[in-house]
Amino acid sequence: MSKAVVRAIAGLAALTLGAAPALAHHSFAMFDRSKEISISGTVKDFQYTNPHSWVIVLVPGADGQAVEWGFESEGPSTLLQNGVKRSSIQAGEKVTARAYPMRDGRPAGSLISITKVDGTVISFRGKGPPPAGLNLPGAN
Amino acid sequence: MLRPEEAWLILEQNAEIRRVYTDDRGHVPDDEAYPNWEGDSVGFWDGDTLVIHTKDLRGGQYQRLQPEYSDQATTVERMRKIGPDEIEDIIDVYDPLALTRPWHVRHTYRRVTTPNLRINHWSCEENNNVVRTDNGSSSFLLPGDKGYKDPDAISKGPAAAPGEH
Repeated sequence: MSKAVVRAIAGLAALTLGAAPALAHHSFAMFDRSKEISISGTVKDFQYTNPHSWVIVLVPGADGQAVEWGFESEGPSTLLQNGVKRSSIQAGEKVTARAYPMRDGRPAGSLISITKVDGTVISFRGKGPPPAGLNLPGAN
Repeated sequence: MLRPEEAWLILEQNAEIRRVYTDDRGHVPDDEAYPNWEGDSVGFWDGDTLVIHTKDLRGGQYQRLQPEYSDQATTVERMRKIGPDEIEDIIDVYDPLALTRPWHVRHTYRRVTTPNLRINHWSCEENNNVVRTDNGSSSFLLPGDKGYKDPDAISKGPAAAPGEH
């Protein structure tokens, strides 16, 4: 990465830290694609939305309190191309989610698949793993 | 959408429209130009290839896992249909601030053949909890985090939001 880019990114970060603005795109860097997790719980919500869908799953915690896990997937257009419809996952269903976990340890991940109690597997990566990107220096 | 004097590239993502002027007009004069998401594009037809020059782009991130481009980025594209279901775009990106040398890349667009699938309105604001992190990367707010926007509460209006009854 050139020093100019480093300065530009650092400058931008300094400018925007206070406001924490919404960004149009986000990188994949917050997910650790070298690991997979498998989390079981009850679906609270299937947010069938752009730019990304989210499956929110309530997972029993050690202290009895449910932990709310978020699993990010693609938006409706891409999901529909893979046959995943709004009705494919219902609130209240017991599921196991496979995902790439967050690097920072928070209860979230990039969704790979959902397995239902009856063994049905819904693949959220119909076209394989997420793109590796351009592998250009400076990818964040 | 193609007309002799103009080509419109209509994108599903964010319902964006790129207008490419093909009537020999030049770019917007410098004192009227400003950086924007689509930039200012002029072009011409070289046989069946649409050649596009773009400037006045607002700096941003190419895509996930990809670096940023600056306001100084300009591009030359050569776009043509290479099959019944595929369009090819060969792009050269020039960016003296963010690139050490011009970047040559080929991008293709594939026709979606899923039956009855429509091109939908597509807005990031439906469910966008992405924030920039201290190191210039990005992450998101999760349910329960301060500032998290619940898409269900937004779509159903304030009456349905917890604590609003």
